[in-house]
Amino acid sequence: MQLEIKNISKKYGSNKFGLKEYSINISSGILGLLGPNGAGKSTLIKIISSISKPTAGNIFLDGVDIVKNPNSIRKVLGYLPQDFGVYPNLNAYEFLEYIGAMKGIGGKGLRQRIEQLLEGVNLIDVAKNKLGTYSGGMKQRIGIVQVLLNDPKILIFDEPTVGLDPEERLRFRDLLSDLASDRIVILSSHIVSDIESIADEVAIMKKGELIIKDSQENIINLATGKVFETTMDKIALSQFKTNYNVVSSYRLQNEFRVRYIAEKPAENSQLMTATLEDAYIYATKK
Amino acid sequence: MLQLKNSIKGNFLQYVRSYSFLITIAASIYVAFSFVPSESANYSTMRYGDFVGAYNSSWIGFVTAIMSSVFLSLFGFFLINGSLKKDIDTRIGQIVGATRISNAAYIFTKIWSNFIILLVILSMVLIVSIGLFFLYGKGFDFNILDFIQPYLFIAIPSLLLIVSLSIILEIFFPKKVFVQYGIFLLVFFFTLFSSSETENNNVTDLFGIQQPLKLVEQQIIQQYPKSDTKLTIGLVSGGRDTYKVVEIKTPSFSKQYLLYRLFWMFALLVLVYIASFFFHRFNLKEKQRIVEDKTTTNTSTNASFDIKKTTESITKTTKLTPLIRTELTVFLRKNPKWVWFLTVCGMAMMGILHLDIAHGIILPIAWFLQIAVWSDIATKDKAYRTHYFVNSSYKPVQRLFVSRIIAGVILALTIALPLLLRLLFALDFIAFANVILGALFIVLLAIFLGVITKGKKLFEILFFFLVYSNLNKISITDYFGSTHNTLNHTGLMLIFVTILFFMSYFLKKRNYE
Repeated sequence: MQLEIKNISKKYGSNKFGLKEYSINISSGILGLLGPNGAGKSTLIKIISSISKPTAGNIFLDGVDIVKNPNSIRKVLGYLPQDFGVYPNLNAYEFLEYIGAMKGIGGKGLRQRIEQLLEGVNLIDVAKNKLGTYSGGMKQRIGIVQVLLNDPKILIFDEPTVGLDPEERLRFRDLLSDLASDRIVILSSHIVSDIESIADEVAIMKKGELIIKDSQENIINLATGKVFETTMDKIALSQFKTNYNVVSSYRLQNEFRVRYIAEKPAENSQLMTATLEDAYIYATKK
Repeated sequence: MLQLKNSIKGNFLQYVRSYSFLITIAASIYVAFSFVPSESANYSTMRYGDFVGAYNSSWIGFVTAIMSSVFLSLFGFFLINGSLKKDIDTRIGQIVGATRISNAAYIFTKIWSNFIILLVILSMVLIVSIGLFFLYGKGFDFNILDFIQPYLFIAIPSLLLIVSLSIILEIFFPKKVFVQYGIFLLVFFFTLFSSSETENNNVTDLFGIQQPLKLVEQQIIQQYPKSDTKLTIGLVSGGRDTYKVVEIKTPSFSKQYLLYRLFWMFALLVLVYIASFFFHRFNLKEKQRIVEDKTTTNTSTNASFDIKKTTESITKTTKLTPLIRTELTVFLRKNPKWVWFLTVCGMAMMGILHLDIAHGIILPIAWFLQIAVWSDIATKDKAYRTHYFVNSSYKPVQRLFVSRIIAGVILALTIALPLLLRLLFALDFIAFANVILGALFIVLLAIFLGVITKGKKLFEILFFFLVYSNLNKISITDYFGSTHNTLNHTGLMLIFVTILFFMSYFLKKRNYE
């Protein structure tokens, strides 16, 4: 399965671009989408999900233009939006059957599939309760079940781990890894560690444009040899931040341990092993 | 003070910049026109027995002010009601709740911004009524005070009272819209009927119409002693050609009357202030949590996300029946039980009462009870934030959108079933077809207005207006054929319904694809 995005642009008003001549090829595996707020991640996801139409450009799914024929991707799509809701007066079975019908699936096996998926997310005991009584984390799990309902070939997750506890996050990552063997999984998240642990490839976006798309290893190589740590007091830290690209800092009794990116290190600095987060900061702030 | 001014301005601008405001203004202009019927119109809005006023500035100013006081209050309530709910739905309320603004200050910003919205609409009515004087009032002198006085003393205080009442109801029944509507309608009709009584009863005269109406009646009695001067107010069938035309002067408003108007405004504003102490400050989640704790037991263990056991394969289908079934379930659970009880009572009455009453009175009321179900039929996805699921679903317009129309019509026809069966047995096929077309019309109207305004308010107001005119036998608004039993009407409705369907369908298709 191959998703080719060719010169996609999304224009708002006369001058503002949500996406600008964006091109990317996505094949089976997990693609992690990273970028600061306003980078165009959600715009890209909405366009791929056929919710929004691009102002220009084409998207081909195995050669079929989904901009012209959106139903071709809708048949094989599983999409978890960042901010979704549910019908509060329906229970989990009713809601998921409804979503199933919307996705064009049904038959006698649907109920059983819903049951099996609800067991997988540990909601089977409360499946007959109205969704209006569910907590945020439980609703998120319902969202994940609806993604998997039609056995999709393309899965798009926008901030999927919101509401999940740390243990669930780990298990969810395992689930994504299992699914990605023969499917396209696009994962957008602000949490770099969510992507770092599982993405086969990472695409970093900024101001509606693709800065880089490559394997994690190659992206991390961008920052290799440029990540340092040093220690300083609070007053020096303020000055330091204006001169260097600081990734993080944390307090050590009366001083601060500062991690930063630079071509040439400051005095008394130690070279560190670069991570995806370092590479992301390096790519988006340079 | 500046903060409050900015809040009022923000609330007002938020409404004024919405598309629905433009439609509301257009509707207000139309309503203002309807307050002063042309010489050839087949209805009147205010008459005393067989008397109506000549179209001088006194009569036009008086009638439009009275009609605004009563009917702008009625429709205005539905227009501005829900301003607190909007802050709940958009979650802005949670931010407001965490700010320093006091309950009273917040509530009064809502009061004033809603009041300004109604004032803008009233101004439109005033401008149109002045325009109508120049159109109809040939041969009479124009006197601006004939317009200003009744609007200032009758209509404006009424609007403030309605705004206050709406907020009080929202404070005490934050999630029970039906209860708010029910109490308001009780207060409204009680006030209206007590205003029409012969005895002076200023205490219950919220709309401030009783004394001015009496003074005008006395003018008619002076000119035509011992005549029948029974007041009829509203949209009443029968044109001006059937009435005697008398010249009316603007009534002089007594000090006592003005004091009563001031008293009512002051009393309700004090009530608002007292009610603000009971304002929930958007702390509504706690009550919901209690339910949650009771119902969502046994969820302490978190999700394994192990779906290896999911062996069941999926079957592709394009059937509409699961979608229609779920839509009907959503409809069924949307209304409280007492609404369904009343609906069933209405259905029973349609099976027993005289056909004219069943068709002309019970059917529109029974359908009106479904206002909450139909009003958000096209917009609920946005309201519940399920629109992403819908927009990325398989053939959403051909399947989901059509299934919603079918579900809506099934509900309307089920309610009308006893009447339909009786019409069938009576071999009245035209009336039978008209009821079916009426069901299609009301559902498609809800969808069309929902699609173009992206909200439900306009449909709610229009539906209320339709029911009101249907009960008053205004034939032009008869969409279900209770006063028209001709093939022409059936054909016209068929064309109308078809246009509504295709316009809604293509607008929705453009949205989805």
